[in-house]
Amino acid sequence: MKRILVVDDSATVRQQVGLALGQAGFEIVEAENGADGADAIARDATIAAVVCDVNMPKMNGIEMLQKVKSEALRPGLPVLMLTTEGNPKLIEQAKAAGAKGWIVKPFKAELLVAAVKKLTAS
Amino acid sequence: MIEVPVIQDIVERAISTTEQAVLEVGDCLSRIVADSRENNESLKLIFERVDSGASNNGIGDALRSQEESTRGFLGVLERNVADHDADLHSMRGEVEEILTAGKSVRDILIGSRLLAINAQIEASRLGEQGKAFAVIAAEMGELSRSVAKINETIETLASRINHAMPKLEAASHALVESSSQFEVVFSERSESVNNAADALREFIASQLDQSRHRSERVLQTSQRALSNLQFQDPVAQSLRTIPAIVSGEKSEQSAGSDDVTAGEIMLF
Repeated sequence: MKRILVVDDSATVRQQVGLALGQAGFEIVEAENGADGADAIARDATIAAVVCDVNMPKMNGIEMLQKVKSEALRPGLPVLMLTTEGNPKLIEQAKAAGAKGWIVKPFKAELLVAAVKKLTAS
Repeated sequence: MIEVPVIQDIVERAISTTEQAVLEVGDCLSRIVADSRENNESLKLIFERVDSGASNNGIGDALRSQEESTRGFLGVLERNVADHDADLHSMRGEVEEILTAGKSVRDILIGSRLLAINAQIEASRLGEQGKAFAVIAAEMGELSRSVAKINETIETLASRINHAMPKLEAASHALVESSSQFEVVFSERSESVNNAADALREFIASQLDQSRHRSERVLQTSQRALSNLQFQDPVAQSLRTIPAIVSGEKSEQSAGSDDVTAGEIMLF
């Protein structure tokens, strides 16, 4: 069972993503902000992919991506951004920081699952 | 004029309230989804079991096995009765032979009695010289009477057996008749039991199928309801901008024309 880290300050989003991916057979671990997310990535080598919000307290999603990249915490770990933001500039920043995908909320559960499956396929 | 911290407090309380409610509803719906899935799996298993009951296992097989056993038993009974009938027929012939032999013995006895009487007459004529011959003639007569008695007993017994034969044959035929009638009734009942079992299986299969569809609809509806709970996060984010907008720190923003729209997925 592949383990997915869900990083979002909203408990309801973590629940929604967790249910969607959990029903698809993934195991879920959660973090409430980018700092906790980066810690989880550094600590847990079994995490297969990350679903991450952008706007969060303490450390936002793009800052977390940059930290993971600069500190080479888990090179090659796929990170999918899940946010209400649709701004192309932010998307480019995320892409440059190593994000592998971008989904604008509200999401369709089956599309999220398909994207995560694709990112964790290899 | 309401102060910004007050607005902030109201917003946070509103967000907290909706968040708790949405989490609770989400939890309930996820339980409904999980239960519906398990229910669907159970229904699927029951459906497969009921559907395959006619050919593979269960009541259908038990009935067929019972039917085969009973038919086997009836076959053995029929063969035994037929053997018994043949034995009776053969015995009737043998009894007839005994009676014929008895008649022959009677004829011989008449001859031997006459012979004994003649011998006694001859012995009397000879006087003293024929005394020993007279004893043998008397013994011969006694022997004939004894044989006649035994022959009579044998003939009586043979006659009784002969008279009992039709009863035994009738009982044997009645058994065959009852067995045939039972087989007819048994076949009819077996067929009606099989038909009832088939009808019941079809009914259960149809009800299970409908139940499975209803359960599938509950699952889909719950999942749709679950996905609608996503409203809470964007609403909370919008609400959190109100204090900043009221204080003038931030202006109300609208989405740019180049922005990626909701639900869209981009993989790099």
